[in-house]
Formats: sequence, C-alpha cells, structure tokens
Amino acid sequence: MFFHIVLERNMQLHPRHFGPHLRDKLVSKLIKDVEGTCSGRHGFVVAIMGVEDIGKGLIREGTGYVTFPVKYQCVVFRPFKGEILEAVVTMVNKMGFFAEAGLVQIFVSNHLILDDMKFQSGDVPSYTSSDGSVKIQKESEVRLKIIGTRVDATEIFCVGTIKDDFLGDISDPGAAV
Amino acid sequence: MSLAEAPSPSPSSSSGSDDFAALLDSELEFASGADSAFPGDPSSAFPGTDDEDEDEDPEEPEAEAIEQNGTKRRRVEEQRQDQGTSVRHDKIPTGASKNVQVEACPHPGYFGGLCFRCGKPQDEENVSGVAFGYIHKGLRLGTSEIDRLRGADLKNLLRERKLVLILDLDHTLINSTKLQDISSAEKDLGIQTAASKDDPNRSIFSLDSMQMLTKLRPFVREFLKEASNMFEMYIYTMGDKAYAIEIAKLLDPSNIYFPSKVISNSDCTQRHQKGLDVILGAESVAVILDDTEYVWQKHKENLILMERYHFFASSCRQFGFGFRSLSESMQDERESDGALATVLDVLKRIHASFFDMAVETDLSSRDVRQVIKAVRKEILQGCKIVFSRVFPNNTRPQEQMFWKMAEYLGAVCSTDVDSSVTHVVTLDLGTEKARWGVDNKKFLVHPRWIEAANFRWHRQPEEDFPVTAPKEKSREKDNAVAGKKETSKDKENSAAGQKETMKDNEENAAAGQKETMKDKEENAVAGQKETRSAERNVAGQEKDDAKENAVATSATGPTDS
Repeated sequence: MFFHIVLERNMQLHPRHFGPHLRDKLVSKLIKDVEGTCSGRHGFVVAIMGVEDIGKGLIREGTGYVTFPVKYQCVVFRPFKGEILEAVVTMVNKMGFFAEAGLVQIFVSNHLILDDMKFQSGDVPSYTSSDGSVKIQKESEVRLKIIGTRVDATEIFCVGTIKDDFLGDISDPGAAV
Repeated sequence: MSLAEAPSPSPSSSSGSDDFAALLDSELEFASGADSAFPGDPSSAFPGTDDEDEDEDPEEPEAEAIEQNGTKRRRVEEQRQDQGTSVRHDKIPTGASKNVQVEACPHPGYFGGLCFRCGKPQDEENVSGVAFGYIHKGLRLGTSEIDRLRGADLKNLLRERKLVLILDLDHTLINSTKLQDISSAEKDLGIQTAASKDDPNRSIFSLDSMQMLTKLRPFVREFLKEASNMFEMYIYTMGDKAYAIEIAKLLDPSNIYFPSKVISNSDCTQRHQKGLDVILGAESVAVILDDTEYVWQKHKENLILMERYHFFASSCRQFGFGFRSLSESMQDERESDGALATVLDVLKRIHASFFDMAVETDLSSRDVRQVIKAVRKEILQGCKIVFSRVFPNNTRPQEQMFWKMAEYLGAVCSTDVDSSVTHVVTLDLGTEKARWGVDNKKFLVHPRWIEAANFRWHRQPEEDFPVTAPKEKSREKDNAVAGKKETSKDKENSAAGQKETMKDNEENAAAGQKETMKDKEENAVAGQKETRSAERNVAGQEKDDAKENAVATSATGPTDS
C-alpha cells in the first residue's frame, strides 16, 4: 500500500557545494540517496514529493562536512500482511509462481493455489484450471493476498495466496476463480 | 511480517507520520495476530477478530486504510466461514472455517525467511531444508516438500518417457580460458578474432564481462538437441553463478533446455562436492555426465565419466601436458565420433533399455543406475582377463583399479592362467604369463585397452594396444594408444606427432612416461585412493590432475599413421 509521509534525515554535505545553490544541491543529494531505498519501517521510498524544512547545519568536528537535518515528504510503498495486491507474474514453476508488484517480490506456493489449477510444463509453463478457462503464466496479472512479509536490508519478500474469492488471474473482467 | 511480530510498535518517534505507521501496524497486527494464532484456536479467534475490528473502526476515522482492510477481511472471512471446508484444505490454518482439527502448518518451505504456506517467519535456530537459490533468490524447501515434489516430478517424467541428465560444463561441454592466458601461438592464429565474428553458429565465443574465451565442444548443439528429447537437463558446474549463466546463454540461447536449471558452486551444499540434493528430480532416474569423478563421491553410480576436452593451451598447461593444444594446431575433435557423439549413443542405449516395455518391472520401480551398470557390463562381456606385472606385488589385485574397472565393464578377472583366459594384460612382454599368452594365442594387450573400453563404451580392437618390448616401450606405447580411434587427444597428439621426430615422441613419451605407473592407476573412472595416490600426491599433482594427465597422455601417442 502506498503512503504519503514526512520523513526526516540528516544529510551531510561537502563544503565544495556551499554557495548560492546550497539548497538545490542538498535536495538533489537527498533524492539520489533516498529514492529507491528500502527500510523496514517504511518500506520502499518511491519518490520524494518535496522538502518541507531544512534545519540549521551543524559543522562536524574534524572534518569540514556539515550536517543538515532535512524533513521531506515522500511516497512510500509497503506491503502489509493481509493486504490484497495486484502483481505481475515473473516466473512459473512446479512449486508455485513468483510475481512482482513494483519492487516487491511475492511468491505464491502451489499449496496456496486452488487445487484444480494444475501446473503445465512446457515452453510456457503455466497453471491452468481444469476447464482451461483460467491460465496463469508469465506476464499475466494476478490479484493476490499477502500472508506474510519480511524486510531485508534492501528487499522486501512476501508470500501470498490466491486461494480465496476474487483472487487470481485478472486479465478478464469478472474472472473469479 | 517482521514488524507485526515485534512486541509493540514504539510510538516514541517524534514525527506524526511515524505514529501513524505505528498505529497502522498495531491495528493490523492485532487483527491479523488473532488470525495467525495457529496452534491456538482459530475458531475462537474469529468472532474475536470481528469484534475488534468493529471496535477499532469508529476510533480511527482517518485510518481509512485499516477500516477498509478490516471490513474486507471480515467479509472474506465470513464468506470463508460460510463455505466451510469446501474451498479450504483443512490443513491451512489461516482462519479457516470452524475447523475442529487444528493442524499446525508443516512449513513446507520458505521464501525470504517466511513459510510460504502460513507466512510465519522461519525459526532462526532451526534452519532445515535445502536452499534453491538457482530457482529464485531466497527460496528454501523442506525435506518432505522436496520429496513430494520429486515424487510428482518422477511421475511426470515417466509419463513423458524422459530421464534426468545432469551436465557439467568445464571440459565436458566447453573449454574456457582467460584472455590473459592465451599463448602467443594462439594469438597468431587469430583465435580472438574468430571469437568476435558474428556468426551465431561459431564455436568460439568471448565472454567480455569476464575476460574469457570459450570454446564449445564439437557436436554439443546437436547433442543438446537430441538429449532434450530423452532427458530433462540440468547444468551443474563448480564455476560461479555469473559464469554459469553466461555459458547457459551460449549453449541455450532460447532458454528451452535449462530454464531455471543452472546450478553453480554457490548452490552446493557441501564444499567441493556436488550432490543430487539440490536437484528436484529423483535419484533413480538421474544420469550424470562429468569429467571428474572426485566431486561426485555420493553418486558414483549415476555418473558417466567423460574424456576431458582440452582446446586451449592454458588448459593443457594447467593439467601438465607438454604438447600443442588443439587450438594451436588448428584441429578439433571430430564431430562424427568424438566424445559427445559416443556419449550420446550410450545415453540412447540407456534410455532405450530403461523404457524397454518388455521388461517385467514397473517403470516407477526401475532404477537408471542398474541400467547403467548393465550397459557397462556388456562392453567387455565374455572376456576373461589375467594381469601380469601391472600391479605391485604387495597389493591385492582385486582391489586394484584396473581389475575393478575391468569387472565393471563385464569382464571376469583372475590371477591365474587357465584355458578359459582370453586376454593377458601386461606391460612387459617378457613375463611368464605374457609368454604363455603368446604361446596360446591369447590376446596380449596393454592396460590402456581396458581404459579405452571404459571411455569409448565399446570393446576396442586388441591390435591397437599391443604390448611392446621394453626398449621401445615409450614410443610404441604411444603408438599403441594412438591406435585408439581418434579422440580429441589423439588429434592433439597427431597434430603434435605429425612432426614425427624422435624428440616429439620422446616429449610425448616423456609426458606419458612420467605418468606410466601413475597413469595406469589413476586413469579415469576409479577415483579410488590407491597406494599410488601417495605417489601421485608426491608428484605434487592433485588426484584429478593426475587423472587428467593420465587420460590425456593416454592419447599421447603420435599417430605414426
């Protein structure tokens, strides 16, 4: 789920950047450092919307670096347990399929896929329902429910299920499994 | 969810958004915590969850997300409740209907540290199962799940009439060298430019990101194509992952042979050992094709040993050979009957024999290892062999490598001569047994004849492996070996030998001679540590190297043809 929150960070700036464009340099450094990173608490920082406040800089003893506390608004993405997401399937194999929703990798094991969806191996491996109406293969979109998340230093791993109503392949309208 | 499991989100952080995030966490944890109380009592958690959701909602007007989440979940859970066990497997504990039997999740496997069935994080101290990093990062499967998958896979394979083939890369299907190791002769011959040509059917490729050149073994593409009809194939190499993936792309540009089946050294569970535990296929149908036996200690019976492919000079140097490499002499293994073609025939035989419908036993109880053994035993069937001056006196002949090799190949070995003996294997024409053999018109062969049969899976003509008088031993032995159907090494040597100078012979002979005793014992198959191993090691070479030397030099003979 996406959130719009205000975060704070201490940015260190090298004296070479001091000058009339100090603020801009600070903002661009912030963007470079923070966008695309991930933290346990907030999830992935997708984009920085704007800088709210830049506090007074503090010169560090011993080096010439100056530390500015910066408050900024950003959009973060964090999956939660129990959340329902749409994701794109990236790999299908006999143990289940892997999907990704943005930067989050989700694995849906075949224990959590409806029993009547059988794995078909071949050139394009897929999970196909017994009547052939529903097919989950690479690049198909699925709606899944997250049943567990874990945050690593740089990545978020999730485990999901499609063994519920209204979950599963969503390429067709009204494709309930 | 790691945060959810934390005791309580600390609302001590200053910013309002942090509070909000914390609040969210607590709501969701509360609501889902009841959900995930597996060994507890999901049915009682149910009404609890509903109540809590209803209580929380009015208090959090701005927490729209939670509210929606909560109500949605409630709805879903109610529906689930209504449907009862019809949709739910009764093992799945996630708030399934009012199940009386509450079964703990068996945690079949983990993805990123979370059980992929119930979502619980993996117990840190109890790390079990095997990591399958080559399929996807972070995947780990428990043993019972692996067995289940193997069983299902076996059924599918047998239905499609396929077995499992595991291929090694280096010296089996390809030969690689670092750019910096290219010899000057190779540079002059323009090997590097050949690698950068655009022809997609070329066999030399350059891996720029790793500063390496790779040569595909002749016939490899056809081999893969034919083998893919009979086998499900895996690549298993001791190289690193990036290298393995690059080579897989070269061998399989359209990714049909090895999708997600490239195993590299980071996937091995034991250091310096390859194992079938990371393969999701049953051991009873797995055939391994590799040039080293040492790494497959636990699965020797599934292994078909292959001759090493040395194309580049650096590869020859690495294994201690003195002659010109294939690359320098602009020669290569013949496609029509090189090592890969031979092995393909053997694989076809094994496949046919396994799926032979005439045999009584049920397919699922057949074992490819038995088939390999049986096919091997046909090679020297009907031969009775006596060894003379091949083994040192103080050892038991039955434990010697050549004896065992001959027995694997189906021959009967004995220590004494009698009328049923068909072959006398010796190094020296002057021994009693040798003379007896000559007198009685028995085949007199060099021990390399056994070795050749092992590699070529076919009984070789005995005339090609004569035992010669001691004086000429070096050259003749080489000749004898050269009589073997030309394999890559033969070619190398013929290339080397074409010069046909004494010096050349001596060189090769020397290379061969150095190994004479070691050779015989170390040749190919048996990675068995013999008394000789001491000698070998003393020579400062690794078992493998020595083996390789042996193998290569076995082909050392300059063809005087």
